[in-house]
Amino acid sequence: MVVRQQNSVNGATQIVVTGNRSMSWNANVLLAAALGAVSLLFGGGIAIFGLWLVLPFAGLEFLAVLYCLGRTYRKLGYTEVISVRESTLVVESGFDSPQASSEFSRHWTRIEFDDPESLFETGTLKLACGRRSLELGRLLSKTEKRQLNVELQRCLGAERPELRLVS
Amino acid sequence: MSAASAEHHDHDDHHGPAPGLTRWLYTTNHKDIGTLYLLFSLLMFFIGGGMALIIRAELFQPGLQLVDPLFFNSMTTMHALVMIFGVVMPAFVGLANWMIPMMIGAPDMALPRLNNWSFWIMPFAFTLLLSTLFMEGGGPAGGWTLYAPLSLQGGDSFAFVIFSIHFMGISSVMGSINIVATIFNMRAPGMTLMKMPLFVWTWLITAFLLIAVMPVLAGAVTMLLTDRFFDTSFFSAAGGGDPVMYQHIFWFFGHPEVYILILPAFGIVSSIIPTFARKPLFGYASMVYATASIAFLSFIVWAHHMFTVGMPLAGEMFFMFATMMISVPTGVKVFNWIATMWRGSMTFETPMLFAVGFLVMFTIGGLSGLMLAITPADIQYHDTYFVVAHFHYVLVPGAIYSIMAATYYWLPKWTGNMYDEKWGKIHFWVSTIFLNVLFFPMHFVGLAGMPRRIPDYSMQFADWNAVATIGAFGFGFSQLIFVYVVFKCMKGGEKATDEVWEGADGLEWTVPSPAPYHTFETPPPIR
Repeated sequence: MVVRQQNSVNGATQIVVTGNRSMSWNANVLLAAALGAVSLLFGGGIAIFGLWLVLPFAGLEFLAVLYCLGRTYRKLGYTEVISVRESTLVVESGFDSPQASSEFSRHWTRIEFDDPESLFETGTLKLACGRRSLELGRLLSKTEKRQLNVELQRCLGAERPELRLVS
Repeated sequence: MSAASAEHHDHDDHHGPAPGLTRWLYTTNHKDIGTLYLLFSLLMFFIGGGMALIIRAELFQPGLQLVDPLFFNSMTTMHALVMIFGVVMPAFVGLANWMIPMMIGAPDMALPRLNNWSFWIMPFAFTLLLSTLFMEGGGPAGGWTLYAPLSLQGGDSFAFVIFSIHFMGISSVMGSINIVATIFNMRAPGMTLMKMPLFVWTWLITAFLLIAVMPVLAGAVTMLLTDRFFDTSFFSAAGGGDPVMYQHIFWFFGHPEVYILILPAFGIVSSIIPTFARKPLFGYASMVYATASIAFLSFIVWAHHMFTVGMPLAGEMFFMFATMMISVPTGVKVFNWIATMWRGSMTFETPMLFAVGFLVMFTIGGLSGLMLAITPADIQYHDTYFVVAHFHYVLVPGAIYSIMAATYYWLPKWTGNMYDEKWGKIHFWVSTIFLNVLFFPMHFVGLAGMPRRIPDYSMQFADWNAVATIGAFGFGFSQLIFVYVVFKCMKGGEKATDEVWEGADGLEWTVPSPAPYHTFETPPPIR
């Protein structure tokens, strides 16, 4: 998803790029607990009859379920926030909170968008400044990357008079 | 101008497929992995089918003709293991991989790398399993149920069998967790649980079943392993163990496994019938509840597989009535499918033919299942060819037909080309005729008392066995038509539209044909 918004504190234009989560963390924990409880109940019941070797497998499976649900939830929270400030372009990214940040001079930054024809390729969208570049929106589809490209061009153009004059 | 390198997430397949074989080895794309599962399943279908033809060739006439009895027993055991774990389950997982993300509006499966591992474990598992046929002492020959103490009397290849079953189990569990994580976490906004297509619902419940019972199978076969090689006595009466307990825990896994093999088929048929009847599915909510009821009941009926072992009368009564209760939600489903077709604008393209074939012949298998549920009758039918007829009617026109229906139904979406309708229909009719020639006579010889899992039999069963063998070879070779139609469609043909079928409804029909490498990275709006 690509959302354009104004920062309520400093008024900077922000573009938020994020995935889609359809279930809360608490619900994920409940789901893992329910699945684990059933497996462990079966394992425990069978262990009463002396066949205890089901239990370790049930335990391992519960841990696997918990880990996989947790990893999925975390991955879907990956967000990139692109803030267009007076003289800089700041890209913050991370899972739920900013964990990495890149800053570019907005006057020297260019957008490199490779938009292939093939249905099987989604293309790449990069911010580049000198020899440094950063790929954006790896979660996005081709259509969304096109949308992000337009948004970035618009933001950079609006705040760089020379680009606006050219256009 | 300072910069810190941004942490990258692990969704690493955004630039289209890699070239050559590495595409298939390292792919994390759900469509590629779905294709791999389906091709693997097709290969195993012919391997397992080849084993079935060896069995039927030996049974063409009474007496020992072609193979020795131990190899015959290996063939019956391997045929079952290959068909269950190598054909039906991987095919359903392949269909789930292809369709579930598209149906719920997700860009991919939740855990793409885990998905890759889940698939690539399978070829190793089956190579290990099939290699036991060439080891000293031969492959497993005690039946796919691996009943102790019989299964413990085989050669040292038994350890390889157990390890291969563990690998299959790990693959299944990882695949199931991935499906659960995907369905719950990655549905498009507005795609509530009760708006999900039936195929997604049935797979979700199947995944729950797999997660619930796979540790039981893993524990059971590990205890067999320790009994065989480490002098434990879990199932050895001489050491204080109980062989009947093995049967109990095996079927505690085994009966839900039966529904693992058929619930996704219900979902497929529930997708196809409305399309070709050009009407919405009748009783969507009741279908969901019926599927959940069947899943619940599958945990409390396991002992109907072992009425002849001997159990208290109350136990026999409980398991008999619980088993009969399954016919209620199953009946709801059959009623809803018929009601969906009622007064619909029906057409009978190949997917619909297979779906209707499923409906009629699966019901025959269901009715013979009801007969087997009756305890006093089961004591007569147990371990006869009547049981073989029953479960083959459930699994071949049930699970296998649904997989073929799904392949014909979604093939245009996958390849972008329409398949050859004429050859598809020929495939259906030839398969259906030979299938009934193959399996229906088994009811007769079973009721007359012919035991299963034997390479030789009395003269009185000769005629119907000859007929069944003719049916087996006819059915086996007619599947080459399926291969021809699928590969012809993959190579080219009339271009398919995005919607493909006039009456099709669902998110998967809104993306282009062939479906792009990545779909729905933007969650679509759900009406």
